[in-house]
Amino acid sequence: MYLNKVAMVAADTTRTKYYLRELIRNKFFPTYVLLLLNCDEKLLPGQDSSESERELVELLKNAGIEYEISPNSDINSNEVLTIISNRVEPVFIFSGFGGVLLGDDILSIGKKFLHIHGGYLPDYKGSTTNYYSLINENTIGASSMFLTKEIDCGPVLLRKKFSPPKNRTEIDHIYDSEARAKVLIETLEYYVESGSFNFELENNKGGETFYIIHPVLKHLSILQGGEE
Amino acid sequence: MENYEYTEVNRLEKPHNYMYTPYFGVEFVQSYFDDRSKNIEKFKARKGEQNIETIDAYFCTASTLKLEKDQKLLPVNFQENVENIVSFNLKNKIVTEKLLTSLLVSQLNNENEKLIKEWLDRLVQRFEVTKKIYETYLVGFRKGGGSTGMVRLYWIFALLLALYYSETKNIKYLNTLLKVNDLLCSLGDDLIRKIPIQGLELVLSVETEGVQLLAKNIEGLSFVFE
Repeated sequence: MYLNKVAMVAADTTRTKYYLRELIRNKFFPTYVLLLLNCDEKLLPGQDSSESERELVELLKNAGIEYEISPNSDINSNEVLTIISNRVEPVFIFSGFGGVLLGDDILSIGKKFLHIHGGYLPDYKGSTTNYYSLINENTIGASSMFLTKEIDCGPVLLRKKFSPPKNRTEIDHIYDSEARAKVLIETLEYYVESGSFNFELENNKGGETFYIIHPVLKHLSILQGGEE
Repeated sequence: MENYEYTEVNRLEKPHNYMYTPYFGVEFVQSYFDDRSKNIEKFKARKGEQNIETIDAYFCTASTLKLEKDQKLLPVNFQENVENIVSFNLKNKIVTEKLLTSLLVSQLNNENEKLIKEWLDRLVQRFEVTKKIYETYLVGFRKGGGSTGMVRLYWIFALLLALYYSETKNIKYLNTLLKVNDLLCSLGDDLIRKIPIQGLELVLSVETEGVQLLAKNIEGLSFVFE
């Protein structure tokens, strides 16, 4: 089934691959997907191979989902902004390149961007928070929210904690994406059931904001799960 | 064994973004400890060559006492010259040295806990985004101005983080401390000349103790660090 009035804007990353696979497997088809492709040879944050573009296009084609390749890879560019503004869908599932934030302009065009944060909100805001939560409480998390100008402070639709993954060396490209994809699907299930987006936590204030984990702490977080 | 690449080049000139860093296994953590040992030895070898400012000598001693939970406060003769933390405001341009000094004095005196966290979080955010400490911050504390090469500011920032981490055990602050210390360890002798060796040892020892504490929770692993 097509999701009512829900489109997607997605970079060619491993996370997008997880999202699309799960959306298709659960038959939640966005009405339109705008793909942001990396035209450089150098991989961008969130990419683990340059093969993902072909895989994403194949996934979309096979599922019969309408898609378009963006004229550039920058979500904040005028071209991308115009394309999204001209679409009828009020909600876009967002899956960008790592570290890219939506600027004020795109956040002001009257669309809602459904983002799945890799961490349990509001406790774990910011970047690479699943490594921190593994150290602190041996869990990983994911939370769905609509993006606002203040990072990771938008109202939370759904949040979940998960058991630590078996192979912690694959958190960046597999388990973090897997946890986010699960929360995305559950969020959409509620949306389809109720016909609207309802919030688990409207007041997403407080908590702690974390920054990219230092490699020493990242190693300890991985090693806590047993040497692979 | 993998080299510890994070101190290999001058990180003021070539900052590391720490994004998607690879996993090298347990050997990497040992290479970190080895690198820190090497740097502590390097700093120690330079003891006696320094002319340290009185205020920095005070910061070193007072911070050591605070970390040892010694409640005896040292007499502070220069406190009247230090601006009170409540006087700093986002609506004004901020001179970073004054802010850092004020924060440190507040921390050492156990005052204004809420304001300390607010300002420390702003500094952490600015450092994590730019990997720099600017000489000044313009109104709003977003855009930095002036020099980014004032090494003493990085050391005082590290000292603030060390004290705050030691007090709270919040690994957010250990995380930034590791990055600031990487930067300090990556600098040549000429650049760290004005930083008290005792002060560098202090921030590195808080950091390595924090890492050792976390490593203790990992079954079957042990690291050599002297």
